[in-house]
Amino acid sequence: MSNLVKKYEDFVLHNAPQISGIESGLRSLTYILPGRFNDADMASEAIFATVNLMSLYHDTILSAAAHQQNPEAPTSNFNRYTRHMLLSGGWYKKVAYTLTMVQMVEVLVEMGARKLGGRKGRGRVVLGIEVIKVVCRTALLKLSQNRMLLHSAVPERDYDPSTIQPPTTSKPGTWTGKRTGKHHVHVDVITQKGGYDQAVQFLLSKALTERASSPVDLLNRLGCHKWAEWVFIFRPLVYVLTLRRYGPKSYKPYLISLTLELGSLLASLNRPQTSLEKDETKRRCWLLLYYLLRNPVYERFTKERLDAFVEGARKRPLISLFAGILRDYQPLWEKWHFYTSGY
Amino acid sequence: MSVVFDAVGGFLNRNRRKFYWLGGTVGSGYLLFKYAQWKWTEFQQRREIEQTAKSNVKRRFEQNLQDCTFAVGSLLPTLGENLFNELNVELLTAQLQQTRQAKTEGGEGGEDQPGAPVTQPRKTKLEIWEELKLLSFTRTISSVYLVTLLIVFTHLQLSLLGRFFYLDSVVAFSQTDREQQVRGTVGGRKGVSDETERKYLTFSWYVLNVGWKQCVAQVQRAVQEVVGSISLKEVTTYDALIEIIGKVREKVEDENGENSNMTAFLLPEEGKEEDVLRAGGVETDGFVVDKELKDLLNETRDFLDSSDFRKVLKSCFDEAFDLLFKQLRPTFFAEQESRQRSHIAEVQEGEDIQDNAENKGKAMPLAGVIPVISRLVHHVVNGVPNIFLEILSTQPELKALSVVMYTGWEDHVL
Repeated sequence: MSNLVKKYEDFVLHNAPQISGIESGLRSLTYILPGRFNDADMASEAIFATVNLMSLYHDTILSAAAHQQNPEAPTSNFNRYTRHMLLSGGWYKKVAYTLTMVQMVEVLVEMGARKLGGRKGRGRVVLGIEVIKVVCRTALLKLSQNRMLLHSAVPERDYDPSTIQPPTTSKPGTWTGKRTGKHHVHVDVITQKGGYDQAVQFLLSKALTERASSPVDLLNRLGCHKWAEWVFIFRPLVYVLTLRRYGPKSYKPYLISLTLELGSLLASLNRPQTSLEKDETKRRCWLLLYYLLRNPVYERFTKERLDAFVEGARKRPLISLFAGILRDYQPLWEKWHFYTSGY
Repeated sequence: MSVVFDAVGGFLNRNRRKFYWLGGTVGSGYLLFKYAQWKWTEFQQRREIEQTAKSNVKRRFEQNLQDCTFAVGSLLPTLGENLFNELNVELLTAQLQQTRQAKTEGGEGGEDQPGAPVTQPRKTKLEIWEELKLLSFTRTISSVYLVTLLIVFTHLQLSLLGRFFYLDSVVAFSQTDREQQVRGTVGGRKGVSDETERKYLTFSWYVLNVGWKQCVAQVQRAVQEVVGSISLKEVTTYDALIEIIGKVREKVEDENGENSNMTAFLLPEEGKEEDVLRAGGVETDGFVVDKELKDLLNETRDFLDSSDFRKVLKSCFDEAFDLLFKQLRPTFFAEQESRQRSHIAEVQEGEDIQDNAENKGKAMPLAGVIPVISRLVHHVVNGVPNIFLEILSTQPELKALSVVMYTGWEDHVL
């Protein structure tokens, strides 16, 4: 088995450009599929989830090679942090990948549950997934010593797989100090292409925009503010539970969830934040827009206006294109919990 | 008046939907524009911060390299003094001159007459010559090694310290827009204290007072083996001399495999660091190797042990000896080169080089080369400006290694 994995990894390393081509081809397929035929949604979602899982796996293989070939490519603060946490060992990596994979397949699983188990089965599965996510996030919060949870626990792809050369040597790009246990890049690696000029580029790519010699310092350890993070973690679960209790027509789940989310956000906004935390908070603010797509506000307010807009835009150039996409996706967020509540 | 209102009202009423659309489109267009503008400003700001950060790290790193050159320059006189006192070639030369004077006063004939009546001073003279031969080679070759070691080691030391100064500078740099953080929520660890910095720099005392002797001893052994058997009368060309020095180098650098023992001249054995602090003159209360200093020393030792360091050291040695050979060239090629220079207008450049390559230069007895060799040491340690220091400080691999040391603040670099 491990032999097979090794072979596949080798294959990926040697065919990175083709693999990235396949990935992006499949991904664009999922953009045009929704609403085309019966069960197209589920097919598209299945492809989407598979591609994402595939990319996630390929990233673990390719990113090391990409960095060795391009050591002077700058790393974003987000990737610095997530990569560091994944390398920190222990449970963090397992939990982080579990959470990421659950997030990637949640919509698909919900669709499958609906098909097999009907309304009831779907409800249970949704609840189950939310519970798993809460457990994972709680664990991550603990393992990161109460640092804010970022929108993803794994690094984003910050390299172009189509430029990755097949590895010429199996020589590692770094060496490890016996006494400090620190990993340092080899001089050859940072001078392989451009000599000292490339080394200078490497130096520049390491320039710090804030005081964080260790990537963990990119996020504050939350002291008394950690309750805001707890609230943010438990909010989706609370939403699902109240939804089950009061039903989708009631305003209670909606308002409880909104209150929790706003409270958590305000707390985040009211403490000093690093730039990475600011980015995350900003993103969470945007997520509030989802409340327009959730019942009962959606049924009573948004849907009507949306329909009118789509209807009116049909005959107008340019926006009709946009409206068309909107119309194709409309059934998805009307129907599936995780489309509007899964984050 | 009311007619006008009615007309306008009617017009608006009839085209209400169109106006809604117009308003909606213009409104959302405006919002989109504003959003794009906002994003653009944000992007600009971010880029500006990044640019400042980059120029900050570059400026500091380059300043640090200059500091290295300066620091080595200030240590060289000590090294030179040690070498001149311990390997006193000049004293031997003076002795040699004394014997010559004694001889001329005694009315003795030719110097090389075999079986001369007074054997005692003649024998001494030969001995002195032999000693002079070994000492000259030892001193000059040692000086090249020591200067190179000092330069490389100082680069490591200052790059490591420079890293912490840089990290401190980032605090000041980000202070302006986020005052709250500086109060200590982020990046609690302060850089290196002044005291630790001073203690850490004291470790160059070791190579200047202890390590250099070991280095000289090692070179001495090699010189004895290689040069010891060569007769003073042996006719020596430039190429032969380079070969001799190359052989000495092989012996010196390969004594325990990959010249790993060269790094032993730079730092004391682990656990004996406090002796250095005591001898190096840090105040009485400063003999302790605390955690902060221990971390610095550990990282330095990790670098000294690394294959990268060995590689860089090797290429620095190569560069330094090349430079030494360049200094030797004029002795052997002086006439030809000056002749060529006068012909330069007539001779094509390509031919010139060919001519030069075939040329073996002057040949002279080894005894004639010795004064040249022993004088070279002044270029190595006393030169003003010191070309060895200048050239080695620009060695790209050494600078690249300094980059690695300088940027090593993260546990994982790639």
